Amino acid sequence: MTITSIPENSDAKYREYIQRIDELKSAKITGSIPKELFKKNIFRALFGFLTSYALYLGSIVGIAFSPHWSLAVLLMTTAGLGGWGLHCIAHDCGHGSFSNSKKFNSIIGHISLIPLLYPFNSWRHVHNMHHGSTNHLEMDTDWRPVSREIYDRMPFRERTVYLFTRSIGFWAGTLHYWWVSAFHTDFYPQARARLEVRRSITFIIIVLILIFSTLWYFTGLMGILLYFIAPLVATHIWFSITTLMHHTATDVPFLEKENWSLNGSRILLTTDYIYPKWLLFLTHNISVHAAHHASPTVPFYNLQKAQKALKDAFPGMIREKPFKFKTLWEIVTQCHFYNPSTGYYESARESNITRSNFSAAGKGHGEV
Amino acid sequence: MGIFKSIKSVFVENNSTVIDGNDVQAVTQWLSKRMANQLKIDSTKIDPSKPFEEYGLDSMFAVKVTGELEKVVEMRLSPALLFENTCISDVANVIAKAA
Repeated sequence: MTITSIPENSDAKYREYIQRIDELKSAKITGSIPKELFKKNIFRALFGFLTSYALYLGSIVGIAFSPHWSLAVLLMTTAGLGGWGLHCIAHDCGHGSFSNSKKFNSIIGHISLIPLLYPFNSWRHVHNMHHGSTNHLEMDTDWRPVSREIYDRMPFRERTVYLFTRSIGFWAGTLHYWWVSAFHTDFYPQARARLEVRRSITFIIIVLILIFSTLWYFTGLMGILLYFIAPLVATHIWFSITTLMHHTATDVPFLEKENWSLNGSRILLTTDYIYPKWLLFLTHNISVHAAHHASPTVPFYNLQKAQKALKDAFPGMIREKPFKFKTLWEIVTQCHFYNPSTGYYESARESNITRSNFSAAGKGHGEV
Repeated sequence: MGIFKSIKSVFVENNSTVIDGNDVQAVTQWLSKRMANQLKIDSTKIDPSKPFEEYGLDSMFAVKVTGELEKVVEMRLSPALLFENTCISDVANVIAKAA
């Protein structure tokens, strides 16, 4: 064992996590997935792309001709689902699993992220950071919690946004993430990445001008809101719910660097949610997520088979749960801050108690 | 003017220095120069083995420098890098280890 420090009040399950992460350090996770599952089928990939664009655009046309506002609201949900499906296609493009051509992947990736106004290369590079540091307390870029102690020292605006997007405003979490990462080249350490990001930003600005001016000319401000902004927000709701639930749960820890390992983060710190078949189809198997983290280059249509291979190779290690709104409710009401004493999340209410205990007890870490 | 500055910062490359993270000496030199610049003293007066706190640098500076250093060594660095390591030499060695 190479463990140097674990939270003082961690439970048996946490210690089991650490044990398993240690065991997995030298495991050949990608090797457990059969080679044929990495083969790309451009027709299946393009079918997924066209299906999502058809759902997105079809829903927007439906909104335009909707006889009643309630139907328009329903169609905004499906437009969001189409937009989210397109994001999942861009996801494959970013990992190079859409086609064998880098250029084609980039073109499809850029087109797929138009409904979100997300510069493809910004998303691609920041997403790679997430893959390289999933649930790493210092380095993960997605939904990384802070402790109550750090939260208390944050400026008022940051504190407000943090707590809002982790509670009642969870649906806006990716919207905030987009705002802070998509257009800030400073986010990317490599000069080449920054250059690619600039190109993608330029593309998105041109597209934005074209879409907004066309909609303004034909439909006015209401058209921009109904046919572009509302579907964009709806897409973010799908985006936020899905990504929040993948790696956040009351019993899934974020780990300090001493205990974190790449292999462990790939399969142990992810939850696969069982969706109904139609939703799996429209979200391109994004909820089969541990297999994707185990090997991001497996195309979306092979993820279910890859998941099975992974389960066979690492029995009992893949977290799989049926999707329930109750779980989402638990997350947004209980997973607010990182608790350095237990290693898990704590709610804002719990943190008030922890804070007073924590300051009395000292740093909260026991050396083992 | 603020908005034009922000737009400019998106499209104009500010970083002109790239150093191999393995090169401990070069990273040490860059950090020494950066600190000297902040303290408005000559870089030869910076001792790489002297604890940061003895130079009286604040946490804002530590986070800012880490952000700049990321682009110089083209590696993602922990925002707590300068808090977790006591001096320039330690930081340079940690980076070389990770490079």
